[in-house]
Amino acid sequence: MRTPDPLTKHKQSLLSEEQYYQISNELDLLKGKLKATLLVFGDMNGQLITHKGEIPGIDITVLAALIASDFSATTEIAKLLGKENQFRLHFHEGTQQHLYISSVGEEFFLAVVFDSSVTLGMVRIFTAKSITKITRLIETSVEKAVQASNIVDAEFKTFIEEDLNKILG
Amino acid sequence: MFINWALQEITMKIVYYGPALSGKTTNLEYIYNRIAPSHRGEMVTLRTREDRTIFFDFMQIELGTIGGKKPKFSLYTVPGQDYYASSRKIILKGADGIVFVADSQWQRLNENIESMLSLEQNLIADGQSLGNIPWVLQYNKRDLSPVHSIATLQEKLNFNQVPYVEAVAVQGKGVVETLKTIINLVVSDIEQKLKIMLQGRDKNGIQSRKNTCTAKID
Repeated sequence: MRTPDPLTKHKQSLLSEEQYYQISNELDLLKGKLKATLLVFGDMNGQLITHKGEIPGIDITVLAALIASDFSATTEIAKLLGKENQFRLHFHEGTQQHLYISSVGEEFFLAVVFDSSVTLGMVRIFTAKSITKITRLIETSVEKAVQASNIVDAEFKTFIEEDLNKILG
Repeated sequence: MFINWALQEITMKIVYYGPALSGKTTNLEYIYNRIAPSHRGEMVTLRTREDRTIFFDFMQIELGTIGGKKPKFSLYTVPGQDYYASSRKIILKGADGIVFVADSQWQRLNENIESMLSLEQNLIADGQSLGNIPWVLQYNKRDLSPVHSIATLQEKLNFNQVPYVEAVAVQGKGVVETLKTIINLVVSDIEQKLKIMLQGRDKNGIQSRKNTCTAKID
């Protein structure tokens, strides 16, 4: 069983280099299989982790925040309905583009934007397979080199102060 | 907070909380208009037809890169009205820091206190509390009359003795100072947590050298 991450009360706030690139590769494969317009992988707190594909004029960071909030709102709806577990996936059918969102473990989500040339069944099957692999990647213990001095230190704090002064005046 | 080691991205979440119409969205709008587009993303606002926040406002600030590291700050507001309690709970999830925007007006004191109590309850539900999360008080609407004195507001609201800023958000006064203060607190807090995390791993027999440690994350 995983222990809570000491950085937050939540289970995971760190993604190693190895985990990131393995997840990224899996998403590349999934995008190719589905010929999806866009894949968005983020955490349930609304933070975008990575995406594959683009939609002109769309800010993917904003999209990730909205998707995570959508998921959390649905979890609250589920609780109001007396359910203990959250809904694991959502599907929004559009006139041209469709959105399929599924949780990845408890901390992350994967969203797939696709058009009508792809069937929902295909999306469900291939996405489920990828999510199984990604969940395993996230939950498997990983040894990783962490540059302790290369995270948040005095230099980092000074830089933030200076940069904030530059952009905010 | 989320750290993506591969991209050296550190994203921190700051939530503006407070009673209805205290000026939370006004804070974000001022920040959005003040920062060049190259340093911020789009601002999304989910509002009712009456122009009130129904779910949240969101924008992200991206600073430059130092030594490959890319700090980002996600700024959220919560809806202040009573019946959006669930929305507030959702947005607070995973927050690294809070700005409590209080309305200084004489008749709004009870609403400030009630909002503060709901904040504490929501934080506790998320495994945090006002005693351990970085937060800042912003006393907004100082230009209106009648308003409570700072001494009274401090006595009634600032029981944790956190930093406070006097503000007139519609004029931009105090907005930037508030943001800088909370970011400074959040970064210091994360620095401390990282130290504790690394010390804990050292104690567990994980090898470490002067500047590098090999950490096992379960």
